[in-house]
Amino acid sequence: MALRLQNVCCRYGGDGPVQVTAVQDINLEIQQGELVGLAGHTGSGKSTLAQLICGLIAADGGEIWLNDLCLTARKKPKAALLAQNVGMVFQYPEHQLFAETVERELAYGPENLGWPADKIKEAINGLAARLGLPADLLQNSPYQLSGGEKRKVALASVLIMQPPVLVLDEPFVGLDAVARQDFLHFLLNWQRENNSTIICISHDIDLLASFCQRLLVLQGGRLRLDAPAREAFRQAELLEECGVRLPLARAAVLACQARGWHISPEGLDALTLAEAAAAIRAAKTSKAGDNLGR
Amino acid sequence: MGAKKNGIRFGSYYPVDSLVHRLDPRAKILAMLFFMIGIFMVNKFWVFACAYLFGFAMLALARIPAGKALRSVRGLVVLLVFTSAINMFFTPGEQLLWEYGPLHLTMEGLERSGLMLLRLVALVSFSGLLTFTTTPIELADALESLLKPLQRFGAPVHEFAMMMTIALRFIPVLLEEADKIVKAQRSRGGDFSSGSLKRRLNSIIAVIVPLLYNALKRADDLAIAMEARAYTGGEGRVSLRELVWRGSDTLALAVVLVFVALLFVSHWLD
Repeated sequence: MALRLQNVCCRYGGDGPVQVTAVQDINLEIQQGELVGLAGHTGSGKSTLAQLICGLIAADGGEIWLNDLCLTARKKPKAALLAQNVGMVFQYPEHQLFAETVERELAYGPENLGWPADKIKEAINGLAARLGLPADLLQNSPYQLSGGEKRKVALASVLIMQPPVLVLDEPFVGLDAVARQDFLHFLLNWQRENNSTIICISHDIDLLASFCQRLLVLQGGRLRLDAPAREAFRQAELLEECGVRLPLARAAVLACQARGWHISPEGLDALTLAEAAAAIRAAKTSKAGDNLGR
Repeated sequence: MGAKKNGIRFGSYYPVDSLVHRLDPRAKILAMLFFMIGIFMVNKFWVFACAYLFGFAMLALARIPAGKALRSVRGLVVLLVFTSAINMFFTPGEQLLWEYGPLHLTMEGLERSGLMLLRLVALVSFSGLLTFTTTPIELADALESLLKPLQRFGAPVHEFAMMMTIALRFIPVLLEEADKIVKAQRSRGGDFSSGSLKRRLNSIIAVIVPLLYNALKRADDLAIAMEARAYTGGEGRVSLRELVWRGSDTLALAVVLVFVALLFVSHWLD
């Protein structure tokens, strides 16, 4: 088992008059190699949970185990030990780039772990090839890269340490469709090769639906839903209650069924469904317009 | 604002609703100014007892726990010990209690260091009456309004206040960003509390560089966004948030002024 959480809770506010319970009573087990999506409304505790798992903030109760490393023990594990066990990629990770060159940027993590120089070099070259970065670009400043490249370098600067568990907080925000596919492709290839566990926070439910095997939904700091993705997306009412919309494809199928339209399985590709959904939406708005006119 | 878990704390605004919280920030600034001056006039222990009583009554009115106000003294312990010691051992006087080389302890010295200690503790803990009950933005607005007369002499009061407002507004944003960058570098194994000096320095650079880069970029964006919304400085600009001076503000200021007048009178009493 890669990750185990037991009765975890976490509060903000310290000793002030306003205290906010960010997450509570979280019980969770995640196996090595699982692809887990974490969804929920803004303020539902997703980011707090992600940071708890990465040992970046301390829990106020409960236990968190990463393999055999206890994050909630009184003696906090050192940053280097933590980084070997779990990696976290924040929203807009390119905001954390700082080194003079891409190479130095990628080397930062391994340097902190105390890797020998030739191992670092090898890892950098391997990753650069995978990223599709030409060798001479390694000597450029990371600030000169394009948005998508920056994002990939920032991701790679965490992946290079090969953490068995990877937590991503809104990794796709602000990327265009092409860069997004490219980024996801890179991520999933890496995951397959290393059999790593990925926990991905995203508001883009279509994207989560496209690659996650399991979905966690938080609401008000509690875990409301924990199910294989296929089953999770069947629970339309619960999802709606938690402020999570259905993936477009699923919504379109449901809407078609509700109208008694027949969809043959061979016609079930994303484009057809998107068209169907648009047609339904258009029908809805025109109906609403009629109602207003009357 | 306020406490950020395992992060950096900023600002002491204590968000509860109270009479003092609702006062006009200008009244609070003026009252605090006069009260501070009054504290400096106190030269008798029994008057200090009264001043403390008054201060704690105000804290109670503001619904701020007295312990919280007193705790702000903690940061000044070194200064307090140092000034008390200097006053205690270097004040010349008639009633000598103890002597060793240049050090001499006199009754006068004890009295003076006691008064000084009470004065400093009072200044620090009761200044919370202003900072705990007023948001930084309110303070900036109030300062702009109070400094307005200086505009006649060409002082850029509005620009100064706008700079202060923006700076204050962005402190929590930057702190949050710093917090995020620290966490991001920590999840890459960056260590800020242990390791060699070189390594720790490297870790700090890994935070400062992106923080500065982002802050400058943000400042640039903000300047353009403000200009795009027709901001050209103070000329002809009005404010939605008008401070309103009410009867309760006059009353509060009057109460403090009367008390401060009494403190002044006590200065010349025997």
